[in-house]
Amino acid sequence: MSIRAKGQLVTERVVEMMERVGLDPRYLKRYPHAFSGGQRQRIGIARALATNPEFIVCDEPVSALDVSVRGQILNLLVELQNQLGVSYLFISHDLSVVRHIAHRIAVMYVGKVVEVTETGELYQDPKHPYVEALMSANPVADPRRKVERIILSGEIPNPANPPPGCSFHPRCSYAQELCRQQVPALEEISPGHRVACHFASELDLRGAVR
Amino acid sequence: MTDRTFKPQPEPDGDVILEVEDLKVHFDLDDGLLKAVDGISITVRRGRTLGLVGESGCGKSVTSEALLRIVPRPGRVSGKILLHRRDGGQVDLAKLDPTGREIKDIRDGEIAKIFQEPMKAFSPVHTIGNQIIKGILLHVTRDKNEARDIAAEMLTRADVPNAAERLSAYSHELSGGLRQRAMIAMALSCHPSLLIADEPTTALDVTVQAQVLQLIKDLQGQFDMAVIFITHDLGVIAEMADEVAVMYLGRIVERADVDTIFYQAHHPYTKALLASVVDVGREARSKLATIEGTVPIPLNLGKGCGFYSRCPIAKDGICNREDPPAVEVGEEHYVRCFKYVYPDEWGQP
Repeated sequence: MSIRAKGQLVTERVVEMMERVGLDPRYLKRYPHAFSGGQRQRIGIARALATNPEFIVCDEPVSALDVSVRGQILNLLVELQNQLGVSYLFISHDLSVVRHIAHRIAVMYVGKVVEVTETGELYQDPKHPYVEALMSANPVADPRRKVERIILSGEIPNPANPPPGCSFHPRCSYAQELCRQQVPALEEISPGHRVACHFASELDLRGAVR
Repeated sequence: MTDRTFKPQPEPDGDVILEVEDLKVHFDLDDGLLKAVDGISITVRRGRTLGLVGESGCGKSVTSEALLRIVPRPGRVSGKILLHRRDGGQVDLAKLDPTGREIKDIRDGEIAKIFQEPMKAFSPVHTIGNQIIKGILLHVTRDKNEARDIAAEMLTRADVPNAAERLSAYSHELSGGLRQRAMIAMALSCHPSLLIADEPTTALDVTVQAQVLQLIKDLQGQFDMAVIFITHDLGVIAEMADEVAVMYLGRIVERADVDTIFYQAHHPYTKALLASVVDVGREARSKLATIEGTVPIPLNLGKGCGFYSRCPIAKDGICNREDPPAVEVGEEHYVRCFKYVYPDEWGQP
């Protein structure tokens, strides 16, 4: 359905959208600075939904929010997707948040996808050494769960001047000569699970702690 | 790897470095009295880490500013901030002139701070070497060559590669992770007995965060420092803290050792915070617990518990009439909630 409306119809639609994202329509005439961070994120979501899109790009939508408010926004996004059937491309550096919301995850490193698969599989059985390190670095809110961290040395390379071969090889503890010379292709190692690592099928990597 | 029965034994008490009692930071504003910090008490021990947790606006950062006496105007600091000094003496920082000589000696010398944004710590127009060396010359030695050597050694200890060359770099020439390390090196170059870390890893990627957290732990061990670690991230708290103080609206609502906070939280706010954590152990896409509303602005607050307006178990006539006192519900476990003052009112305590 395309939306081309004027005057009263627009207002009705805006009110509908505000209610849908949990904002009081009485605040219709307020300016953005009069809202809290969580409310502003709701406004952003309402605006994104206003034209009935099929696909929404969510770029770090909850990173700046406090934990209690982050829960509200994640609940809202899940609920809206269940109601409206929209697709999300959800961009985040927070592994716990993407695991919560995503059905499928692609992990990027220096401009390339290094691994892509279903969410559950990625966390239980990662095949790329960078993904293994990411999983182990993610802090877990449980003082009794002592995790053996993989501390990567060095930093993410400058994408203008990436290392030869596999971009991850200078920081990878499994790297071999081949990795320094040849860029690994993103290959399917099982149905729906693609990895860009020369040794993906040989390495025995650890998933996220459970 | 996972041992759920593990209960850390409390280590023998380290020497107390800092005792804070009834610390208040109030701002007289045109709109009224803003109580950013309203009567908090904490104790910090050598070699131990106190985690200060809370959402934005709860007073965590103002607390750290008060400890260094760098609260902006028109903030008024009152209460007691007793620092046990290296020479064996004691000084109440709350009584010092914030522009005086003694507090300047203590700042960066005995108490150092690292920030979320290292750009704030460094001047953009001086090399990081000059800035680190300046502190060392002020607090450690008057010999310029020795100061330079100490600065390079600190950068090396903070895992900054090519440390000697980096001394002549400007802060904008370093990557985010390196800048964070350089700031840590600067903060620790005078071997402070207390390090205040205010959200030091919030802006970093997880892999870099893991490096920086490890670095802080290593250096804490080497220098036997006390650390106050301020963050809203409960995952980081679980990893770094020995004791935890949960702040809400300028007050500490619950205080205990880290295991107790995560496994036997008593305060409704602590419980709600823990329930709202998105964790890899939780069922994906399940509805997350949330706290209704947002943290109120601590302006012209009336009497009563600050969490009253959002609390799921609040009782009218009790919680909104006076301030809840701190109740000791277990060994070294304090909670400010009327449920533990009048357990009968809530049925089961």
